[in-house]
Amino acid sequence: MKIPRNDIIGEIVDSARKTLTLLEEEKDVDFGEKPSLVGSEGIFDSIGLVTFIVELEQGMEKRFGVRVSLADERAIAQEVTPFSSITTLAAYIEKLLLEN
Amino acid sequence: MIFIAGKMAGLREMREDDKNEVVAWRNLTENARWLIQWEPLTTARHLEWFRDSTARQDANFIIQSPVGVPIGAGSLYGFDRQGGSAEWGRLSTAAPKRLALPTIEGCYFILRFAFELLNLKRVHGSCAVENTSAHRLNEFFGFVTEGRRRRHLLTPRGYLDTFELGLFPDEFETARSKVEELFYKDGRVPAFSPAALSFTQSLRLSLGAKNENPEE
Repeated sequence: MKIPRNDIIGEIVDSARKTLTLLEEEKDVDFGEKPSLVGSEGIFDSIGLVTFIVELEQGMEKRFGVRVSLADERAIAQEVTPFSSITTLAAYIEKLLLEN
Repeated sequence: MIFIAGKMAGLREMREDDKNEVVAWRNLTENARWLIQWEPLTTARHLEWFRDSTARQDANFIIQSPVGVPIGAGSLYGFDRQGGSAEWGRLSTAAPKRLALPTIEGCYFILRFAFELLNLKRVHGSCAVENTSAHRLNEFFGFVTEGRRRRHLLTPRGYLDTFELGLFPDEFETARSKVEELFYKDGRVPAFSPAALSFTQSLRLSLGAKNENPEE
């Protein structure tokens, strides 16, 4: 299945915003700058990332009717972690959708 | 020998030959800043600790990637064999944020080990109040914040307040479903291997099976 990259990015940003609200994080994140999701400059800590992934998986299903599984052995096998940035995550989701 | 293998991580017993990885992880700034570590840990000091810890029958684990690369460590220790409780902690990882998901799966395995195999009645822990990531991690697994110790930890950065946290089996049962929904959508929750059962027996800690009521 093919979903335009920008639509995937839109869902990632929406899910990230929802997660920050859920976690009551008062971070001023400029999503236009495609910030890192994890890492020293990342938006989320480990539990933030888990919450975000759950939000995103649900968001993808609701918005596009597709089920993606982001927490599995394929994600850890990638040379660059898919969660390092919004762009890498969008590319990873695109790849998963094409494989399915 | 692997104790349990999941989607992003596996768990096994820590060995002496893990020394280089464990020392490197503990000396990482992100990990060391929350430890009572006045100077960088050396291999000799680590081995001294490891041998003492093994003699005390602590359960020290290595979290590894699906292809067997060590990525983190964690422990159950300070066992109260009569009361059926233990402390958990000594968590360190190769890259705390990048390996967040495998570390969470590894922590989930350690807590399952505590309740399923050791039949513990309570697991407790503590973290610096400022360490919001660790506090959140504990609460994610169902730990309840039971109190705050003021200026409890003397670290190179001065005294830190700590949160005291506790977890009962039923609280973990409720919380573990969040992890299982994330990692095991197919419903196939991994089971412990015979190696894990054998390790449990070697610890001689199967408390609940013999002593359901500590007052008896």
